[in-house]
Amino acid sequence: MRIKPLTNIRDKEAHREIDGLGKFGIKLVFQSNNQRSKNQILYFVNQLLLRISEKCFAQGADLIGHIKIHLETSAGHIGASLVQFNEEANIIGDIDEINDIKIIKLTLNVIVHGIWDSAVAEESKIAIEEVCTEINLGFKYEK
Amino acid sequence: MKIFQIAGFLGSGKTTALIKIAKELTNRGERIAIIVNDIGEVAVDGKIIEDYGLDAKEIASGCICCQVSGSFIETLSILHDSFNPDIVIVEPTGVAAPNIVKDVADSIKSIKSGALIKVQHAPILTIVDSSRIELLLKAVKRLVEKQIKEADIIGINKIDISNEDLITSTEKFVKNLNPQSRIIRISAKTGDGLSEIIEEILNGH
Repeated sequence: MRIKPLTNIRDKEAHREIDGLGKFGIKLVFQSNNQRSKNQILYFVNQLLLRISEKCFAQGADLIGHIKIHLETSAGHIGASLVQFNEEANIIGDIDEINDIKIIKLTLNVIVHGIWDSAVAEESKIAIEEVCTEINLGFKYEK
Repeated sequence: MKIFQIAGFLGSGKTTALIKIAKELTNRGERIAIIVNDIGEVAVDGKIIEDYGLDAKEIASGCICCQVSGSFIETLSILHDSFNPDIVIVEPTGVAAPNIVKDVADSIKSIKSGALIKVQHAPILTIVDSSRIELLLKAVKRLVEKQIKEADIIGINKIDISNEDLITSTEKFVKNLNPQSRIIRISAKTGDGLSEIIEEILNGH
């Protein structure tokens, strides 16, 4: 386990640290050269959530707190979350069955048990890059 | 102004339950405000709630029971002075201690007059994910037990995907830790059991 040692019990984040819950959050904008369909977007979301969980578990995480996504496109919004390793994501909301989605705005929040913030961030970014490369999707970080 | 807190560990189903409960309370004519707290630097839950046509105040980058308690007090004070809702539904982070959140809410003051605002508290709901209770007790036992001990109502969630053995063992575990609590089987996804919780919000202490 790669938990950062407790340095100061009075740290304002002490309770999260005591419970060993590492976090990472980011906003991204994805831009596709090709127009994407609803099914391709849902595949992308599922792959992203699964890949982040796999990467974190490979580094020592043993429990998903949550991996949550909110995704905005011209065809609608969806929320997606994964709380169990090796299971499909729960997706709420919907996007229209159109095939001209080119811009995707995404907010990602990851909390896992067993590895600390820097490792969660590193593994999440690697997962984002891998999935985007596989489906030929360009992106930039907003925050 | 009554405060209703939906506590529970990460991934337990708090946001899903909140959306259904808020919609039903609104349909019954209650003036509802929602405060959601994300521990991450970027907030996701507020955006998801807004997709359902509900207005949510987001507090991100820390926990309202400690790091950003000041933001929580300020948000409650502004809501009281500007909107005066009947019920404020508060979804703290999955690592928050329910009793501390309750204590923090008791210290709100009117921004206009500076006077202490007397708030009522609906029973605290802690949601427990019965489908992965064994995993949770291995990894984050201290936190899950604390959230259960500090609840007035415990929603044994995900009865739509969990099995009867897990649901029953979760109920026994919870009852042993907090014998005074009311235990309700729920599915935040399908809505099962939520009407009982809504009655507790409206009529409970």
